Amino acid sequence: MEGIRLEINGKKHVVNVSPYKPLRDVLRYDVGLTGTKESCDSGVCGVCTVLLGDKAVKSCLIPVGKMVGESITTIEGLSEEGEFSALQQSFIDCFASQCGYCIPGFIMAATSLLVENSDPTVQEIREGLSGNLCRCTGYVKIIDAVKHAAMKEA
Amino acid sequence: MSQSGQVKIRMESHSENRHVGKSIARIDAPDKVTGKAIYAMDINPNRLLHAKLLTSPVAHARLIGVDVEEAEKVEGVEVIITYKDVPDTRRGQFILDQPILATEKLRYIGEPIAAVAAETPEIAEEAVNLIKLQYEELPAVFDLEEAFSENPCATVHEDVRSYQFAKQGDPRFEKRDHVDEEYTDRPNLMYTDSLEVGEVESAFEDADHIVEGRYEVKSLQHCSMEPHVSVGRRVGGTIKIWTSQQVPHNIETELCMAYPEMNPGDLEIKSPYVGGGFGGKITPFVESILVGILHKTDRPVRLQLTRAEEYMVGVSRPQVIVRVKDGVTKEGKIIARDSEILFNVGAYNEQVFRCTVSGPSVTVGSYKIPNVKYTSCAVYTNLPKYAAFRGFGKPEVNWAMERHMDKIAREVGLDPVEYRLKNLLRAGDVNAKGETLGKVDTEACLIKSAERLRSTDIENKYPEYDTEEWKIGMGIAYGNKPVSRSSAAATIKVQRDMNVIAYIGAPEIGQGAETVLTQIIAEGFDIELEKVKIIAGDTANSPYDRGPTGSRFTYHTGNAVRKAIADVKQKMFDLAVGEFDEKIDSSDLKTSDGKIIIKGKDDSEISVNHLFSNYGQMVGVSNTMLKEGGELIGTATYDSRKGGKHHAFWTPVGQAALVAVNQITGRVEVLRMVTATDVGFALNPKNVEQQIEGATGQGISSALYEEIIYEKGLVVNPNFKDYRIPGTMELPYESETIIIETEDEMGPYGARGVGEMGMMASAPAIGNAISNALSIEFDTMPITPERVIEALENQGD
Repeated sequence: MEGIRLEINGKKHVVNVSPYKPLRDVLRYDVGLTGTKESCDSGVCGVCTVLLGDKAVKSCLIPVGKMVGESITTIEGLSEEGEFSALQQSFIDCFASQCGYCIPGFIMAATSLLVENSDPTVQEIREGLSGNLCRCTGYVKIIDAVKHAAMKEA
Repeated sequence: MSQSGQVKIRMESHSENRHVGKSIARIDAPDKVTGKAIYAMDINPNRLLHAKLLTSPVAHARLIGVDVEEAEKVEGVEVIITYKDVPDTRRGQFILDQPILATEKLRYIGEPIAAVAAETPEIAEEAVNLIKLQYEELPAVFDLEEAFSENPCATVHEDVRSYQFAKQGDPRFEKRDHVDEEYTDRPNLMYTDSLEVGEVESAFEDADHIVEGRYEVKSLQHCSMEPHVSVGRRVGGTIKIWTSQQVPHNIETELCMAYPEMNPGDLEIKSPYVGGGFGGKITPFVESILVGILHKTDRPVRLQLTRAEEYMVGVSRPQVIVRVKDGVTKEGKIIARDSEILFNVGAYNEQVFRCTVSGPSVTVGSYKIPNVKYTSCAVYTNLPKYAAFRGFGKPEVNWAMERHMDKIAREVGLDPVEYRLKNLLRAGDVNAKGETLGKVDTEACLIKSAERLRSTDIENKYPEYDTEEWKIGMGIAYGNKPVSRSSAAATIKVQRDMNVIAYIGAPEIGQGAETVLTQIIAEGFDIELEKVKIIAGDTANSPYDRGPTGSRFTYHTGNAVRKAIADVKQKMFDLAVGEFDEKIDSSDLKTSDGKIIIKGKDDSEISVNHLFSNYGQMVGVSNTMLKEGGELIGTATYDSRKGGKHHAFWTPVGQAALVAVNQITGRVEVLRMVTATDVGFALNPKNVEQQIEGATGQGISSALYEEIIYEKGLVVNPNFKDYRIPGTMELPYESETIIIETEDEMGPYGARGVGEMGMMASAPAIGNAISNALSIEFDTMPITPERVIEALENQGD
């Protein structure tokens, strides 16, 4: 069987799986990057959010066969040099994570949001993150963290 | 940058502290923001088998046969288990009613009947579909009040009165039977808890106002983002399970109950980081099946609930119906209260027994009422199982009490805050159960939340709602959350250079347990936070803990840790005395960073390393072994049950809501929430805010959005599309916390528990605000757009 060639966090990978297997499951169970989470299985909760280029997508919905030629970034790819990204640091500083299970997805979605809009208002952050669910925080401190990261980068 | 609205009213006495009382960043945050944090979901050993469940397709039936012959032929199937393969035992919390897999009867749609473990989830699923069931359907009962009646259309458990009742260890239940005598002819009644104080009937005769109400809370789902998942393997005689659970020690205890051949030493229950619990991850409904599989294979096995199974196989918050009658004088004093509370158990008792016992405390715990009566009933139905959800029944009952308070205030003609203040229990007051309220500022919680919300400049801040379509309303509500007595233990080991390891039974489920314990330990030894390591949530090496449930963790485990620190320091100082030239007593010593110092003489110090064995120049000092052998270990238990039958403490909370209601669409928007709570002492103020904001969010959601819909016992919305949990657009960004600190006499550094407080009064505050906006009473929650529209249409009648 010809393997599927993927570029994940800047590194080349070849996986021998069905092209219909969801990207999320390939990342978690074939590549071993478990920072991308699973929860609702229906593309609603966003815990499996990764970046294709700069665009945030829900990896539970995407067949891995479609990923050839794409540059995939997961949560592990944001801090590969051992340094936190500005958003990761802000999520720590602003107390944005509790159980933490949804947090990688939020950080990926927020990373994409800040690429599109480097100085979002609170309302724009709320809209930009409306595809991700969190059960612990009530979102106040997640929104604060994104705002804080945008201010630091400015 | 943090939210500008957060306010803290702080005691000054803690200003000299090095770590406690400060908002230090959460210890678990770096791993959680980088994806390195490991949850049970991430445990993925080689040669893993995947298990799937065959669950009951019917709500009530006599089970005649389970035929696995065809299923076993599927290639890739390793193990299939049914009731024939597991012990015929019953487990539960106090009332033992639940078999591991269905035996003679099927009692709800979703009840596990068989489990298949196979090479892939798809193969397991295929085999599950080939298992043939034979059963004879029975009438089923779904309606709570019908189930409660003397002649219900179905009896869920014919033998309920003979079920074993585990009352050992809890003095509250020593003299109780299942139900009070007058209720024995209600066949679906699992348990009753009742109280009568004073002369209730005659007090009603003296009352100027008698107000009655019926309130209902629909059931909702915990929706932890990490579903229930357990990965286990048998190694020799030991079964090791990594699981998404809040109370590993309870899992161990109940598994030993279900499998009497197993001893605690045969089990290792490990909860790594847990992706949310909220009360839904306390009992072993997944693990008990996994153990049955693990007895039949040497390979590791994973059993994970799908999101839909969370709603059907897992547990949810119970439906609750409350009838309450208050007698009030014309001056606004409550002189009598009579309530009847029905809790829906579902088909088996996971934790609704506990809700039934603890829920009614809010009928007596907030206000001074001399004559009180209540009966709280746990009722079986043919619905999926229910459990505690952030408050063990109290937020549900408080919905009724605080909606009722507002209605009476209106009838008596008093402002809702003023009416509550007239009746409020304050520090030193004795409630109807005879409990004296400790050092808490109940009044501040109520007044400060209300004042802050009422000062909102609505016109200028929310001009977009100034239209015919929208109506604005304000509501306040109060809650006083009691925390039950329980025990926790901690073991602390000091190593070379004053590196400290703490072994804790409770896992980090998101509440910040690791962080506050690290602060307490670093404070206790006067060392850097980095010197502390917590090993948590593993029955193989951690002492007993009742877990992060019921807002009990910080208080109980925090105290256990402080006692363990004292214990290990005593041992350390006893050894150190001989190392000093001067003649001193062990009580003269203290620690600071890596040193042991004579108090008041900061230059008289030795390194803690002097106490450790030096086993050869080339190797250096041992990390752990003492010169005289052994290790520097302290261990202690904090058992608040020794303090009597009343609660360990109460945490009061006032919550105020500003809402806008759209009269055309029925949509309710929460514009602003203010929560004021007396936490005793905030060990980590930002961590307290996290707990308040999160619980308040869940309270808002329970008031407006979430409801499990059943059709003849089948959950028809078991997913996040049809059962909407709120996102960033629904929950208010303006959710403010006012932290009040009136030090608790017993809590660690004066801290009380805070985990559930935001849940206590947020829903009734919103209900009251909506009623204020529309002048319509809403007695059932959630107040969905459909219910608003219906009420608006009926208003014209």
